[in-house]
Amino acid sequence: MNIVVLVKQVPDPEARVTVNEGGGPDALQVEDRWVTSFFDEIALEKALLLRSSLGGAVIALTAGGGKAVDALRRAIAFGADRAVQVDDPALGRTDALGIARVLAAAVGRLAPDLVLAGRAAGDDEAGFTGGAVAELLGWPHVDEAVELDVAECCPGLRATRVADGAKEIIDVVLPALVTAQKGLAVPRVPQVTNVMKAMRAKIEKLDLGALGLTPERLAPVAAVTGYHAPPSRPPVRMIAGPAPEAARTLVGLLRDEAKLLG
Amino acid sequence: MNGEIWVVVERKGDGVRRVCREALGRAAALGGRPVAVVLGGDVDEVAEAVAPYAQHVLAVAHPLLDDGLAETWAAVLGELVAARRPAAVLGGATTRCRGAFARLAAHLGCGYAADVTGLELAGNGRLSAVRPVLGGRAYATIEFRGPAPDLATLRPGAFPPAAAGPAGPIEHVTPATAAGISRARIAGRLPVESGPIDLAEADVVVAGGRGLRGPEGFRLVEDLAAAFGAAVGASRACVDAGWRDHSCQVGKSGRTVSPKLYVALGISGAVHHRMGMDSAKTVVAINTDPTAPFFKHADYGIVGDLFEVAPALAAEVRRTKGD
Repeated sequence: MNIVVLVKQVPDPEARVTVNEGGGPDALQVEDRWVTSFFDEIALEKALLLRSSLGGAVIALTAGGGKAVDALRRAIAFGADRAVQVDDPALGRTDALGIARVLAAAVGRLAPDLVLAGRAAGDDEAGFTGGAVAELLGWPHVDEAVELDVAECCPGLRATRVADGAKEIIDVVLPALVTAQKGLAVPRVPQVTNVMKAMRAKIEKLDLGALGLTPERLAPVAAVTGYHAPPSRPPVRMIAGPAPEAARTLVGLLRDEAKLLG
Repeated sequence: MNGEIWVVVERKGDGVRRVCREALGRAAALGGRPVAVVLGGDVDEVAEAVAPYAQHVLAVAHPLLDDGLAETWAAVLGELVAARRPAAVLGGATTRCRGAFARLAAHLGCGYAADVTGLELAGNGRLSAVRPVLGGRAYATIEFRGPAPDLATLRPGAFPPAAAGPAGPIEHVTPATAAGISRARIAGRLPVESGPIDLAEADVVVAGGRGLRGPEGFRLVEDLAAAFGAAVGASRACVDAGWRDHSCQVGKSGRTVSPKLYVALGISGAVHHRMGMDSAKTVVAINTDPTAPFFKHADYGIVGDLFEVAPALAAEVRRTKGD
């Protein structure tokens, strides 16, 4: 089974975030610390586990310039067979749907049996790309899988996810796209030698022309026009005293000040 | 907003998920005509349940829609949108609707904002959405361009629900597209271990962390949650240690909740955890350790032994509610 894994390099969850006054599209400042998105690493690990049981190749795919290539090097250090980067100046001016168009076109060229992706990226957390890429390819997809195995009804897969307070078991015909929820696999810690090797590994590059896309096709339909800081909480009110007294004080405040427990 | 604002309705038991009423309330506040769209195998019950909250109900029945899978829902919504041209389509930011809306946006080439906490009318008559990014450490404003409708899923608890009014008329619609497009199917559904109250839509969440020292300590959380009528949440440490199922995990790698009240018992309050609950209205942190970071991000704090404070608090809540 050949598997394409969509990977994205995102700001480290612990990177400092500041939002400048004024709030325009350039107001967001994030410290220069990057990681491969948490759920993408889970997807990658699952792809490698499926490769060991079913054979085939694992191809990591990303769209974007700059730090984006680091997600591919991470994937190779994990053990991916190939790494493909779509880079083009037009990608800096598009939106999530434009990126989905780019990824879908690249997946179409790579023609895998399965695409795995994280359930949401660690930066915008929209959970959009998986479903959108599947739709553009005309493939079925399953979001937030916590289990994924070969179905008895081959050629297909059986995925399990939790939705609406129930575990849903979903059979899906290949080719298909599945997004990874925590629990699907536990990402490995790559060996230092593999990390070193990945630094020198070949990255295959594609631009829009190679995918038959034009910048006009990627005109944004949902544009970020500004940022603002989250509402700040007033300073904490510490409640002292022995447990029964503190509990009474807290419940009083929740009822009278926060207007809860009504 | 001129024109119809559709809300995709999800069922909960015999009724309607609260986030769908929240979306219908927002649709009315934006000045559009709120239309509830009910998709499913058997839609009559839900259509009747939602009718008092909408001016019009589209009841779309087809056996394949019963699975609630993104591919089928998006195809049918795409067909209805093309025929009837609403100005916007809203839904809850749930697993089901988020999957369907991602596909619908790609299918129609429309703009989509996921998990929004703000939704306003922009100067051009389109919507403008506000949504948290980077774990809620910044909020982005999204403006819609390109073809209508504007698509958004709403974070549960972020908007006030619609009040009941005179029931809107129910129109039955038979979709043409549903047959023959399903390449995924539900092979089974099993209940998961969790409290009686849904975490995503709970008004009150009581969550426990490593400070509870073990799975037995979680009984304190369950008892306090029962007193409040709250859902039970857990920190990553508890889930990784196997004390609770992952479906209870609140935080960056778990669920995002926005309750009116969030009570954290023995959770240190690392940034990963706070990313899942920072939009809660009121936060109470209870911890043995006075230096726990959570105290910097809470409204009320108590330093003390959890095994004394939690039962005292449960007793006090029961006493107050019983009054």
